[in-house]
Amino acid sequence: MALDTSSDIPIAGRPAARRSAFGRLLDNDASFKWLLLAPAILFMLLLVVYPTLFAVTTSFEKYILPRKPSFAGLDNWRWVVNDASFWTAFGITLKFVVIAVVVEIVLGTLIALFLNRDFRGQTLVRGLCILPLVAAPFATSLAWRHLYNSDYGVINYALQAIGLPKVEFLADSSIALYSVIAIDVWQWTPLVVFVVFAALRGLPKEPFEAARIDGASAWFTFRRLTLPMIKPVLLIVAMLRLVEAFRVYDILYGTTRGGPGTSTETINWLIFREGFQYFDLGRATAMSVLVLLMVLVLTNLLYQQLVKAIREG
Amino acid sequence: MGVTWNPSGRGPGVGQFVAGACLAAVVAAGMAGPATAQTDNDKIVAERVAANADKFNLSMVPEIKNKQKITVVVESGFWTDYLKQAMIPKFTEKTGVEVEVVGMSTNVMYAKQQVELLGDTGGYDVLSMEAAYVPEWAANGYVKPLFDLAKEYDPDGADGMVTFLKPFYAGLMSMMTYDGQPYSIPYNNYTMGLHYRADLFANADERAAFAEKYGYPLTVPKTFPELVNAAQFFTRKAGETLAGQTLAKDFYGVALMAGRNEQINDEFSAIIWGMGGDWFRSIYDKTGKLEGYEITIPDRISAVAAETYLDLLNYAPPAAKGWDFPEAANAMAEGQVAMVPFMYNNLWPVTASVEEKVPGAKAAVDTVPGGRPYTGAYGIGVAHNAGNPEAAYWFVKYLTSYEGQMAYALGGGNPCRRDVVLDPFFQSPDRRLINGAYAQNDADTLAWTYDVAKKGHFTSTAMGKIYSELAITSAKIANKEMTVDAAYKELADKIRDIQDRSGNAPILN
Repeated sequence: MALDTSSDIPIAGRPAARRSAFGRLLDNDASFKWLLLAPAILFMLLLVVYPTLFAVTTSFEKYILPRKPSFAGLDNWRWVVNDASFWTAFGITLKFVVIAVVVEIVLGTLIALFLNRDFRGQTLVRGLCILPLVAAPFATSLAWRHLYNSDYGVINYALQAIGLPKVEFLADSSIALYSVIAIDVWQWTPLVVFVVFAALRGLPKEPFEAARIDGASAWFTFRRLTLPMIKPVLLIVAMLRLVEAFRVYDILYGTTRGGPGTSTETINWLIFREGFQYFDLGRATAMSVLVLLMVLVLTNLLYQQLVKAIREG
Repeated sequence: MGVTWNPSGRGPGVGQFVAGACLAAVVAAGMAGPATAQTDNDKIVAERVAANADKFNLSMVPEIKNKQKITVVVESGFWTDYLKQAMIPKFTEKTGVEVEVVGMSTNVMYAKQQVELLGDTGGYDVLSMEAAYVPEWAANGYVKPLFDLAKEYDPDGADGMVTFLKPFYAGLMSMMTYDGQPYSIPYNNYTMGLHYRADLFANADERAAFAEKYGYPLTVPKTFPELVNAAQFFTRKAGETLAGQTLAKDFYGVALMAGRNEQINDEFSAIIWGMGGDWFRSIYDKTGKLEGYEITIPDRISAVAAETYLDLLNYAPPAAKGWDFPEAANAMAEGQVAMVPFMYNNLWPVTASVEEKVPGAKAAVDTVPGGRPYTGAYGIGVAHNAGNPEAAYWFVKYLTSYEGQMAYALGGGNPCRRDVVLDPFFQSPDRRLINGAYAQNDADTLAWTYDVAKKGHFTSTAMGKIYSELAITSAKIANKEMTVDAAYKELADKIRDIQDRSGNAPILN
């Protein structure tokens, strides 16, 4: 139906035009707000809420494809809690997450501080810093597998060139996990760099100028001014990295596949095996939900720190 | 190339001509090499097929009414390339049916196909089935029985299929059969062998030194203690001598697939079976019906097997704890090890290539110590929801025909038909580096004829899952994360759990 624009705008002496129902909806602030939120809500319902509810209900079922599911009560949960492999994998995952995230935050902040100054070639350097981030994780892991190779890898070549012995980065169970963490740090530190860099660029200049005038040292300035101001950003990026690090899989698939032995077998690896190799959806979802609860606890701790930091700021 | 790109506006220089000519030469050489080999193989196949005109071949495929494209899953590697370049165009030309090939690595083959089958997507018409998948997929109705397909589409019927299957190794066919029906035809035999450096074993100085140290002559190991001794003997540091040469790098007695991949459990299996033990065995009643399984681990045999493996690891490169079969085979190819005691014979072309890379090297193959190599095959079958089961059936039959297996063998594969394996063409000395393991493989595969059915390995419908757990336990033992007894007890519980939840028959003990 063509819009009768001649009567849209009320003119003195002329009665106001009748709006369509949709038009009235647009005019109403409360309705308009929900209309804008609708796509996001639909997305959340379909891709987050429904799968989560499905996972929770499936965790109480004996559901091994292709057989039909049957109610199993707490059997799956009892199995998860009593499964030594689960807790071993959880411990390995926690170790991975803590070390990777801490190193990424510290290293990323240091690099961001370095980039936050004017120097020759700064544009090129900043551009190069983002390269690891754009590489696909699996491709990255394959490349690193070759770098780590004890026979022809560049890293061992360099070590031997300076008189050090060969290192079995991926075949030695005492260091394999750290070798995999190094790959994660290499790939994801740039994310921290650019988030912190953006935060540094947005800081007000006056407090720093005042500190400089008062003769404050660089360390004092960083500790008392820079760090408190960027703390909320650091906590946010830490939360993001924590959630992502818990889901590590691609790097392992291209390198150790959970080995040597089970020294790099993370929780995601275990869940994948249970769900997509054994097709035991009941147990896989029980593990997933338990991990979700643990991650929620950890992120909540960080969130509380974030709220505190914002209030203090 | 060098002639048309001319940013300076002047005529092309000598440098540009030379660069262009070199590039053209490289491209021409690249195109000529493989194509020439392929043409030669095609000629040989045509000649052999003509000399065996009574055997089924592509020309005997009747008209296929359904021309819908079929999708075929095969193991990725040289075979997939050869299939695409040589065999599929012929099939399409004959039948008018297009074929799409999906190559998959063995590590993901089970899960990827299982997802499609569970989802009933109809994504694949022809499936690749490792021996461990067959009971499960057949029991769940994921694969069409071949006799039924033959009755429906083959003028020779089920009897014709029986005749067609006669040249295949009985043990391998047994693995591809469930409840009396074949569901898959094997095409890739991966029975293991002991691949070794015959030149080292024949070297007079080495033989004298070995006899002095161990008190008996150096021979190709037949027992596990002999294997450990030989491995220890041949493990040397850089700077020491080997067969009269000073070593520039460390040299090791054995290569093992000790990484966190499923193949480590094949090595353990070869040792356990070679010692007379088992993981779990099938129990039948007097009518031949499968009653259930008995788990045999942990027992003294499996404990000794684990100790033997740990001993062998001392004489393998440290990197072996991250190795799968390509790395282990390459270790021999690159002259890094004296033996690969448990290597799939379809990798003989890789291990034998040591003769081309190391001066004086001579590769040979023998039965694995203990005489019970890990055995099995990859087969192909027709998916239950194939969009074009008729074309899929004829593709399966073509690929596993004398013609198809001959082409596979010429490409370096290890076929499953005795009439191909024992063809005099492959016994000639000039084929040794490609097909030199055939005679040994034939003997070892035949030896399994009656024992396959006794193993839970080849009869359980839960084996696709149990196989992963065997690998995890083997990796834990190799990595010394648990004591052997604790690891086996944990595994026994998992086998019981998986068999109870997903298996076809109960655990009886």
